[in-house]
Amino acid sequence: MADATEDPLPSTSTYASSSSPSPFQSTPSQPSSNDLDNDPTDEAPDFRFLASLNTKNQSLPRRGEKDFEPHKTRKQEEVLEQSRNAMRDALSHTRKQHVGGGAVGVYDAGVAGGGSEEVGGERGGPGCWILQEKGKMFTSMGVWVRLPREKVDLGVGDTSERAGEDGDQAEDEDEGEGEEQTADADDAGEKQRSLKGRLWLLPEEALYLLERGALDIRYPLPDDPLGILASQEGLPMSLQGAYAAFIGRGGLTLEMYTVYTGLKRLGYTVLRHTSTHLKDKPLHKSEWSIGSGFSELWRRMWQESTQEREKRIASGPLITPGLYRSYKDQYRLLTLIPFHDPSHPPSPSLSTSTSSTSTSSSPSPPSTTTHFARLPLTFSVWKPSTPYKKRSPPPADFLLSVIPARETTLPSLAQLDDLLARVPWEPPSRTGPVAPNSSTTASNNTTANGARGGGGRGGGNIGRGAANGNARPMPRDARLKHGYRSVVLAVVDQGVTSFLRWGDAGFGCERVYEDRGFGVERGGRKGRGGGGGYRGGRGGRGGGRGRGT
Amino acid sequence: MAVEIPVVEPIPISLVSSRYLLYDINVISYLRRAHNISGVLIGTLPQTPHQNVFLGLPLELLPEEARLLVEKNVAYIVDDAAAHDSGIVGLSEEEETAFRQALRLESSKESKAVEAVKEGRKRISLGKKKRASGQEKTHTIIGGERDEEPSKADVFLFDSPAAHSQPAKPSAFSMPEPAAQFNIIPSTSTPPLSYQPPSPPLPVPLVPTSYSLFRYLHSKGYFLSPGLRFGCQYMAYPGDPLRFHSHFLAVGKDWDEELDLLDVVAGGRLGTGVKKGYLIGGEVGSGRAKGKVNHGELTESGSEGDVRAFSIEWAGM
Repeated sequence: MADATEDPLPSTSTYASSSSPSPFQSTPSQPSSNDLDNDPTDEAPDFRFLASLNTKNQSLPRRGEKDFEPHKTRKQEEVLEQSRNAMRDALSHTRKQHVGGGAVGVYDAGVAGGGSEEVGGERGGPGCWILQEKGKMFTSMGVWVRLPREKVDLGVGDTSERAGEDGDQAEDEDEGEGEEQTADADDAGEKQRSLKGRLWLLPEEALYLLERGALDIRYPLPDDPLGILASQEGLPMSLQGAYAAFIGRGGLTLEMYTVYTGLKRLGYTVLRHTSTHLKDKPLHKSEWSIGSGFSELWRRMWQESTQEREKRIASGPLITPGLYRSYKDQYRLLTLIPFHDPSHPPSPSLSTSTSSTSTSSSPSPPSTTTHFARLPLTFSVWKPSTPYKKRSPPPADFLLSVIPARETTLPSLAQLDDLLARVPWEPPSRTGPVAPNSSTTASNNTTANGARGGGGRGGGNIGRGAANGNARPMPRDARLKHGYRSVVLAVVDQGVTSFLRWGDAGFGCERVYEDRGFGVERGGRKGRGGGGGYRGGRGGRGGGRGRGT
Repeated sequence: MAVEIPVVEPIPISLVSSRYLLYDINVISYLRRAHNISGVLIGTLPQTPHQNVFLGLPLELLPEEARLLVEKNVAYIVDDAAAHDSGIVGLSEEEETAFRQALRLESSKESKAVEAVKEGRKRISLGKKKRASGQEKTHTIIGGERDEEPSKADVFLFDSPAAHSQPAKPSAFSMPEPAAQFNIIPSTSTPPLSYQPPSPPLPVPLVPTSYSLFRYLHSKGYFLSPGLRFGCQYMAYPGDPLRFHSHFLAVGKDWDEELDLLDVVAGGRLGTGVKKGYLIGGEVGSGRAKGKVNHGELTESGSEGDVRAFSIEWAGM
């Protein structure tokens, strides 16, 4: 930022395309940057404008003009009163469901809950069994837990296996087990299903659905192991009860939940992170992962053994006598300064300065000797546009670490290194789309601010800035911003969230002499090519510095 | 729609996983009005669940806010998880029936409200139809189209979000059964639970050392909210944040704390850039006793000292 008058919105990269009409990326009525009086990330929204947020008009309302300070006029007080009443009315909305029309679940305090380790849930955490499945949200929520046949008991979810049923898929009709315990269930098919298995919701999922009024959770009744009676007669769990039951248990903190629900509201698919969400994305660079031309160059470059190189640098001459066809080869010999190469796994040497034994590159459980608190990879997040299938989840679009602002200081290099070592290797593309599934384009901001600040800014911006539809090479600054691996930190301060994207930038990997004006190979005009190259080199460096700061 | 229900002090503040939450809209409005406490809404609004601008219950209080309310004897802290664990299980028969009765009442109230709104809409659309057919008999088709719209809106506006995602059953509307048409998901747990100040009271909320600045600004009539959006500790509003822009980005410091000048410049520039003042303040003499400043430390002491605050404006370069 060079000037305070600069556009506060990070609309920098020419690379960020405005295509991909993701429903959550639309930034309706975003005020112009000059209009600081109406900064969307600022301050509390005016609930009087909630009414304009109806289903026909998807745009978010403006937050209304505010006053600078109270001046005790009646008009001002009236408007404030209106706002307060509007807020009151909005918040007084009663969550309700038509009888038999909505999803119903039964709370399980989770002595041996079904939340198995593969879902990332801690054993024994609380959760909710779904007894009546309604709505589409179960396509990406909950885990199908098969109940053991011989012992149809809700408490025994331990030996559960994951059947991998999609919530919206039609169940194949199975013969009834015949074990009926309650006669209250009105639907025979429902009974059979509930005997076969159940959908188990993790605390955050149950709480989120209850909070949006989409799930009616009942407290279990005694002598009702299947919960069928409870789903009809049990006492309903209040919002307050749900927070008391789910937050702080089963590995769910309020910060995690705040981030979870914020992303869910915008349509993202969010699950607790497990290594299976990485799918086939490698953690480290494989030999062929960079375009073939470059990998060829790389190999040729590294053909000089390290000893030879050291000797050359130590005793010179730096450019060994020989026949050089281009300046590139000479410049390459001039790279003397060691740099951080992100294509290698984040080096353990950095973390061993603080931790004695931990090999940070392996995702092993934290060793007892680490002197820094390991940042967790909390959630795997899929964009709304990524089709998510429970049975075979696609690789996560981003990985997210939730950090409580009040309890954590700025992550140390060792912590970040340790965190980045656990996220997949995703080099910036030089020639086109990185991954085949990067159909959408997210703008390429290093920091995307404002979880609550407007659907648009919070929504679309935390992308990894993958690739554009056309095969335009990514500009250098975009490549640097993209980095070679990245993780999103969600910093939560008492209910307010900021998202920061940390990328492992590879400045040393950007060979300026290859990109700019050194194209001497083409014409063989050696003399002129050199001159042009000089100018180009300067321009390149200047540009790099300007953006880097 | 919403009726103001008088709030009786002291108010229970739910402590869940060392966070302070409020669920009762009456309490929230009351604290806003009477005690300049705004908190942060963190929940999903069930009416419009797909946005992050307008959020709903519960309200998260800063530890500072909770502390202030406890110190003023406006509120007390209850361990909500424990209250529910013991309360729901140990619910007596009478309490349970009373609760069910309350739920039924609420349910029929909701049904009636829905019916009333439906009636009203029907009347409006009928009136429109009449007018349309009376005035322009040739354009009956347009009139018919017009009538379609309110009924569609009806389905969307007054259905629960769960019914949103599935095709709404029109039959549910056609049969007016005021008995138990809705299952109510209450916001608060009172009833069936009722809270009493625990004795001995739970420990006061732990607050950072910037609490003295927080209390000072609050005593001057400012509303304070978490400042993460602007990279400060608190945003100070001269009145209700619903109506006013914040004036200051406040950062609390210890009196003898060494400041990084770059931080001051950065804060000043940021504050000036968003038309706010960057404010540094602290308790006179704080941090001196310890000899060494321990930043970010949570304290239990709430000494009422003299607080001074400085506002910084970036003036140019």
